[in-house]
Amino acid sequence: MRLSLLALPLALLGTAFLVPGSAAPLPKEEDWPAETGTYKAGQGVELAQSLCITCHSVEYVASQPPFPRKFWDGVVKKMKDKYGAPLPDETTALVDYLTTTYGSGK
Amino acid sequence: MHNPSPTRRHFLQKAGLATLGLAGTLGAADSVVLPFENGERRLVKFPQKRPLILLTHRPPQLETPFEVFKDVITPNDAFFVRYHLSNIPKTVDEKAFRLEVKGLVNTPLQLSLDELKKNFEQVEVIAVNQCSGNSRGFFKPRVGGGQLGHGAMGNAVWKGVRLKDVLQKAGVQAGAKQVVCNGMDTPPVPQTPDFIKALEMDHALDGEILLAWEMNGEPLPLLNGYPLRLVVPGYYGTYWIKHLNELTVVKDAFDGFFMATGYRIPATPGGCVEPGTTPASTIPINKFTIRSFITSLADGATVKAGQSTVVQGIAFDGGEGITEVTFSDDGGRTWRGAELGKDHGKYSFRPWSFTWTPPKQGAWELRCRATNRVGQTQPMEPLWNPAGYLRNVVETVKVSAA
Repeated sequence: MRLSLLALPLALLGTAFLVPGSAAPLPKEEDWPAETGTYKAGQGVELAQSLCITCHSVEYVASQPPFPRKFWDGVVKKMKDKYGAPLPDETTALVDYLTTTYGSGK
Repeated sequence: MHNPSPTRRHFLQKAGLATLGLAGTLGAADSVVLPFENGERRLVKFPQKRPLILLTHRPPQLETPFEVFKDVITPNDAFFVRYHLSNIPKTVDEKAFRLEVKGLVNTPLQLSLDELKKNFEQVEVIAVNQCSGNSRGFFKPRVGGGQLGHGAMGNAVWKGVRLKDVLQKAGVQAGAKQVVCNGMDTPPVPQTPDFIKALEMDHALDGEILLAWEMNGEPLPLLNGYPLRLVVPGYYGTYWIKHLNELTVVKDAFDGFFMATGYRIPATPGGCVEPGTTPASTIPINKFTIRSFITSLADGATVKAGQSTVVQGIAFDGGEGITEVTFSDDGGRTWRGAELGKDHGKYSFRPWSFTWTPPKQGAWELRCRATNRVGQTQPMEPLWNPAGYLRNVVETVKVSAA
């Protein structure tokens, strides 16, 4: 089997490198990468930062193609109704932020 | 030898910098661009993994860089990761771990990993695991969900015991309809439905499904389900429950969110509908559609005109077994038979190759198309469904001969 692309650099760095047949040690707390993604600035960003962040990181939003408002409205409803997300009754401002900042703007 | 894609060159450069100590946090600075709108992704190193394409951080969803599929077996540290709920077990006490078997059984069981290994026949299978939404980013029109390239799949040697043997030891009672499978990951808020899946009883007892603790000769990586996971050969990854610790035999169809609402496909031939429309009725997603890929040449690669190049690739399906792969260098107008490589079993990637000599300089559109034992093959035009599942169109790699 071809040696993996990263095998050499990682071995040189002394980072854990899996040798076939050897058990990989279970990860320790410090082995987990820090969550670095943040919501883009925009009107209503504090809503996304306080509400959406409860259950998932920002990439769930940021990796979507620029969908229209109908999509983001549906997503917020789904989070609330299907996934039980603790969202307020009034979510228009959150949908506005998502549509403007990550969607097609209309 | 092919030319690395731009993405791979970038990756190599960064990896090179890392060896010189110039990149302080390997992974954090690296990125790739998947070939669809908003396809920029970071490469991030999670525990027991090499830097992988970050779809989402919490819960972790990591995609395998496509060049990894040049090997028929996908290494554990490159194997894709897909969770639904953010309370994932970050550590597991293997000694305290028990698999509970309960419900409509004569003898409920609490099995340690040692008991599973000692009391049941150990078996191995080489099988592809693929996310239902693999390649969703290529859907046109685009659909919501995890915007994946082709890297949410992998092929591994899985070792474990048969689900059938464990269920028979417990003694399945008359009237049992399904076995409900749950793992140790839980929702971040109590109102969120837990990620639980159900298997029909005849499927659960067909002897194909494993409770696996080992992957490619090593314990499962934590992010692939340590210490025990379901291996459901030929079926989409949604059924391959990770950190499996609970099997409940039930008499009525389980109606949890991830069976009754999520992971459903149109109840139509091919599981597709007119793009942009809603299906009239749906069924739970089940077996893989048949697919094939060129793995030795990436989009934009350059080959030498008049000289032979061995084009290599992989093909797989839901377990019928690949019987033919054909190759085209003219965008699908003409096809020639490729040579099938070693058969690792009907659930594995099947390697194939075609010795291709571009007759003249210029642009070439390379395609491959697989057929299985029962005559299923890949569509020439993409099929569409609202959840972005089942993609299996004949894919194209554009190269130039110089």
